[in-house]
Amino acid sequence: MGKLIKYELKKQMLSKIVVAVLAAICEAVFLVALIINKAEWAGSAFAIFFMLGFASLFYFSFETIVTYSNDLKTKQSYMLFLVPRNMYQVVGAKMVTTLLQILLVGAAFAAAFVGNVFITCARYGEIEEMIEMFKMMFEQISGISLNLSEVIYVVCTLLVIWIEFVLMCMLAITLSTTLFANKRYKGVISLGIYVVLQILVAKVADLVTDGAMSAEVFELNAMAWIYIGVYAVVMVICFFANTWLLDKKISV
Amino acid sequence: MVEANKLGKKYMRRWALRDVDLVLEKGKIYALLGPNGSGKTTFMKMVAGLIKPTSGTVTFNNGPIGVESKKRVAYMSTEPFFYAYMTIKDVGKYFADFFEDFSMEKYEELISRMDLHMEDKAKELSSGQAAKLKIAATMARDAELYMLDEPLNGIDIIAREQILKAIVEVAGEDKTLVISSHLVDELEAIVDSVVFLKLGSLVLAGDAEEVRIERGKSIVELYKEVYA
Repeated sequence: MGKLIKYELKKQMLSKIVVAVLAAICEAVFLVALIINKAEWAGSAFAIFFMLGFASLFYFSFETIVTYSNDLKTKQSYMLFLVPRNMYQVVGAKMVTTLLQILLVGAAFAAAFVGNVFITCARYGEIEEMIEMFKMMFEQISGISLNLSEVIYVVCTLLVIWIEFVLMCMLAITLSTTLFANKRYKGVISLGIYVVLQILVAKVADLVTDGAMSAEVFELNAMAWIYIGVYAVVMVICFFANTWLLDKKISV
Repeated sequence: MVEANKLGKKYMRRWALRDVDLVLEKGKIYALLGPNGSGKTTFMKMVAGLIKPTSGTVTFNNGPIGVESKKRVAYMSTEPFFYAYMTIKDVGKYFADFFEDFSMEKYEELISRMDLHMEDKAKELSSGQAAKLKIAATMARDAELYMLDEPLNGIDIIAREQILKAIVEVAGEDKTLVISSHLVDELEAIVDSVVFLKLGSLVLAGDAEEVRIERGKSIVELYKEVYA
């Protein structure tokens, strides 16, 4: 499966290089601005870097979906489905690549973001004072008490939900090219199924968390774990459904 | 080697292939003949494992079409199918990574003979060059069954000779070749057996020489008679 993952990454390498170059430019401008004491430049570079991180996560996810669609709907599919690998490996490689990309890119930007905050604090003042001030500002604006572990849980939950969204999109594409390949409105049918499934998953997640809350065991961390658990189960189901459909109904 | 029983494939309301009973034997070169829409590509893709039959069965060496058959079957499609980022060298590396029977040495030799260059981008090749690349990648494998879908499509007469030479070179007692083409006259000289498909059904199949004697016509003449 390692070789399949290698080629999945290669197919989408260009966008990663472009984003890495843009991120490096932002970071360089940010650091130089700090050294020459140009706070506005540093602020702008930092903001652009932050936005680039978010935009990249969205773009890479979108690119993963488009690549998957091309792998099933264009002649490029022969590269994948002619190789002597079973469907679990083929689909597994795609899912592992998707997970890796979103998690690694997210982690890289988050690490760089935290690093930049610390560098700024070191440059302009005491770290703890700055973080405390930031927390106070956030709490006053949002009315939510900020706790680092809770922030991590929320970020992890959002990441898992996002990954599930991408994998469910892949399942919809698989449906349109396998089970509904011979139907006139296969795209619309698959989209409809996708929407219904996403609503169902959200309902189940809400029901489970509501149950936990009414049982008076509510904590943000517990809720995050429940969400992560529900969406992880959905991801596993997506994997097996994708594999089964491609194995039994492939038509490329 | 390949056995199809009542093999059929339906797209929407149309049968692309219907009730085809066919046995492909080891060590022979087959011409799979028929106009567009006759079911040639559908048949090859089912043997290659790219589509599943709607009805009937197809087996390779008495086993199902799957991972094991893909190790031994080399399929070349009509259209180019390499990833956009790939150079000719990348194509070779990809095949070497996934097919144990792929020889990089043979690939390099074929690429050189066909006047291609390892650093050229696959997507920037002309249609003739792309056809040569597909042939080189396919014929550099030491497969048991080669299925070439329209290998001479859009190729000039000089390149056709190069491609036919590369195809004939791999033929042997333990190799089976299935070649589909509209250019029947160019295939007639090299094939042992012929399979005529029309509108998804098998019209005629047999030893090329026997068919010629039995019908008193060349394969080209028979082609014109069947499809006129």
